[in-house]
Amino acid sequence: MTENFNIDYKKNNGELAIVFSGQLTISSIKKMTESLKANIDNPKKVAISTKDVENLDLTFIQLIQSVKNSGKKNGYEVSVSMKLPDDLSSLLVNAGFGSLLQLKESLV
Amino acid sequence: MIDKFRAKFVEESMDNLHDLEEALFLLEKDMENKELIERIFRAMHSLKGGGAMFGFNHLSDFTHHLETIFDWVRNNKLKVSTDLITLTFSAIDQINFLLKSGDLTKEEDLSNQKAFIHRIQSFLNVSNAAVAAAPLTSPADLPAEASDENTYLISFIPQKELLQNGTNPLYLLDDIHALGKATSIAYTHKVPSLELLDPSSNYCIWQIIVSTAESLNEIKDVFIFVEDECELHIDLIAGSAIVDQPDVKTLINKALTSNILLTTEDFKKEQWLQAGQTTVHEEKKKVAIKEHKIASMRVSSHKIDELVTLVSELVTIQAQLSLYAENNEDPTIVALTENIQKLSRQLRENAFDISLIPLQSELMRFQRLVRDLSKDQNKDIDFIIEGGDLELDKNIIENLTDPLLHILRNSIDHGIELPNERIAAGKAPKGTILFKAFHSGANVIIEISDDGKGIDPEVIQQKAIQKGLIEADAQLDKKEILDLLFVSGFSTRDVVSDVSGRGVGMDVVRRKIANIRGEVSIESEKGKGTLITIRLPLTLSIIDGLLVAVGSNQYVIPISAIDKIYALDPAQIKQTFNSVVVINAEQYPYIDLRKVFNEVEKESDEVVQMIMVKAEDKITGVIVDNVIGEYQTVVKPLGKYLKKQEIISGASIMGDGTIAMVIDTSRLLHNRKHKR
Repeated sequence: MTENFNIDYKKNNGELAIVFSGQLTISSIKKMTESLKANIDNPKKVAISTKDVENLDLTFIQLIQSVKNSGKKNGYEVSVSMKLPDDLSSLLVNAGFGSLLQLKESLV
Repeated sequence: MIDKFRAKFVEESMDNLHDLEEALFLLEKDMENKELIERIFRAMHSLKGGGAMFGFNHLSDFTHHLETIFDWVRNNKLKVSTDLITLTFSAIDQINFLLKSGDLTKEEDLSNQKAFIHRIQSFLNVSNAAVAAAPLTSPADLPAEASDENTYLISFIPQKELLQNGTNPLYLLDDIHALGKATSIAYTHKVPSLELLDPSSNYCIWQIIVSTAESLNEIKDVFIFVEDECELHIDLIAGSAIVDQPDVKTLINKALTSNILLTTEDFKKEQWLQAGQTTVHEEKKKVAIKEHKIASMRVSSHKIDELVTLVSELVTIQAQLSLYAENNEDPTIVALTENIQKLSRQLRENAFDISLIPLQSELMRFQRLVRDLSKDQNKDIDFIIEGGDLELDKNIIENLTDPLLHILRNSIDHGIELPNERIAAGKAPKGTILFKAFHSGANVIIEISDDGKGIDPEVIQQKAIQKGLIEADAQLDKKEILDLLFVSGFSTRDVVSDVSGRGVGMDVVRRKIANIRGEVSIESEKGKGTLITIRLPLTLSIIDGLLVAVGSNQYVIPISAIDKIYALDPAQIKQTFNSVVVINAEQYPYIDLRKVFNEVEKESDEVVQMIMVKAEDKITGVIVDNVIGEYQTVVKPLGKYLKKQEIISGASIMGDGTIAMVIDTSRLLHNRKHKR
């Protein structure tokens, strides 16, 4: 079955770039979590970004937060820079997650 | 798939309507009760939202208008009145219709719906004019347009399971922002690292500071669908819009860095509340939803019927196995059979326990009947229910509704007097009907009593003579006279009323109750009131029976009907006169089942068994040849060819494949009395 989300991983000198796209919601969150667990393997740095996001919900925000908390625990830096359509950006700002939208800012 | 969801919505909405009706009855008695008003508003809101979601557009539109009424009520723009409650009761009937029929297509239905909505709108218009003349105010729930902006601190602490129920809290927070100027603080410190994350659980907590001109109720409405799945606190922290003030921003940053939730105390330092303004605190504590989900579940009645049927089959097979074990005398098989017997008995009890439903489920209809009829007849009646939580087999409840409705109609129509008549009789103007249900041994007793004018035995007797039901010189005691009410075609009213005198008399009530193996009796005191007592079995399909032999056949007598068993010498029977036997200096009438079933009497001197059976408050002996023993009896209905016979209520298949008829002791004794 075709997934309605995509996670793209690129490794470069110990830095892992993760790009999420598609439907980032509870229906796929378990698969997304498993994928991250399998692909985040002691990196020096993780850079999370988004592209062509159709929808997202709290489960995805918590997943990002969880990666950040893992970074804190395991000693790697995590940066988040999400590019979203206006309606989703507004939704995140109103829910108190506006900081995730700040471009190129380190959120460790 | 969508049909499944629609069906589920209808099922849940029916429960919602039930709740709505119950709340309305309570509101009628306590018209200022805010909690009840909220409950009614929430039910309307759910019906509206769900209706729109599942394609019940007419329902959604209709409930929208009703919701507006109750929104006015809770915002003190409109007062609860009897007219409003009557309108809402009628609206419940319309909602019921809309749920059953879906969106309307017939011209007549559409026009009725339009007329009803117009009625609701007119009600609002009239009320609006009244409010304009004398505006209502309350400090906590000031209507939006009458107040300045206030600032609230909302603490929203959802349960872990919130997301699994399909809720996206991001939308709730967005809705809060739509009410005014707001800032949300998301506390994410409880989100675990990746290896410990349960990705579909919620770990976040929010606090929102919102400055709005909307009322507190508008804020609460945002959380209306999640209030059972979260802890929610809403505190008024300022009598003006302070959300953009630098001090507030400082507090927010402090909370975010420390992960310590803000409290009303943090805002008090700045004295943002104006003189005379008091802190308003609204709190909804979370409900242990997980336990609730496990504690109960919805199963279709069809599946329960199937389970009960399967258990019945199992009991029959178990009887065959017991017989086989006895015949083969294999101790291992005997031991195993005994275990299976124990288990099947437990299983039977559990299955029947599942199929019991509370009487309460039907009582709302009765309450509604009493309310509507008493208003139609200008009578003032207090309907009191005791024991509504008592549980009965659903098949019994289904068959009990019509007789109970008829009895209640009789009470209202013939029993309770008009207020002026009651005052003239030295009674309170308000009459009382008491509905009482309780357990009595293996039976359930339902009593319906009223303090109305009672029944005059003279009138009954004269009527019975006129109708040729009894001889003019018949000597009957009061109980026998009142029993005439149950004789077919008896009706004390010459004019058939719309309510109870439709030619269907108490004879139908007795027959319907007898169909579910129940009994009904009546007591009445002229001028004081009437008491109708219904005695019912707990279940219908499997009973504990006593297996007896009459001639070459076996019969089952329900153990619940048996008082004692005596062994009698055949000579003792032969000496009796008029089928009355004397045992321990007491006279008992008896029925010889050998004669009833045309079996040849034994010529030997072997003792016969007299089973003392209780029915209609009397004990009568039933003579059989032998008592075989106790037997778990699966009662199967008789086919259409045997339906007309009266003293057999069903049949049971025995372990050896033979059939034993189940005797309806109530009818057996009743028939004997009438033959006499």
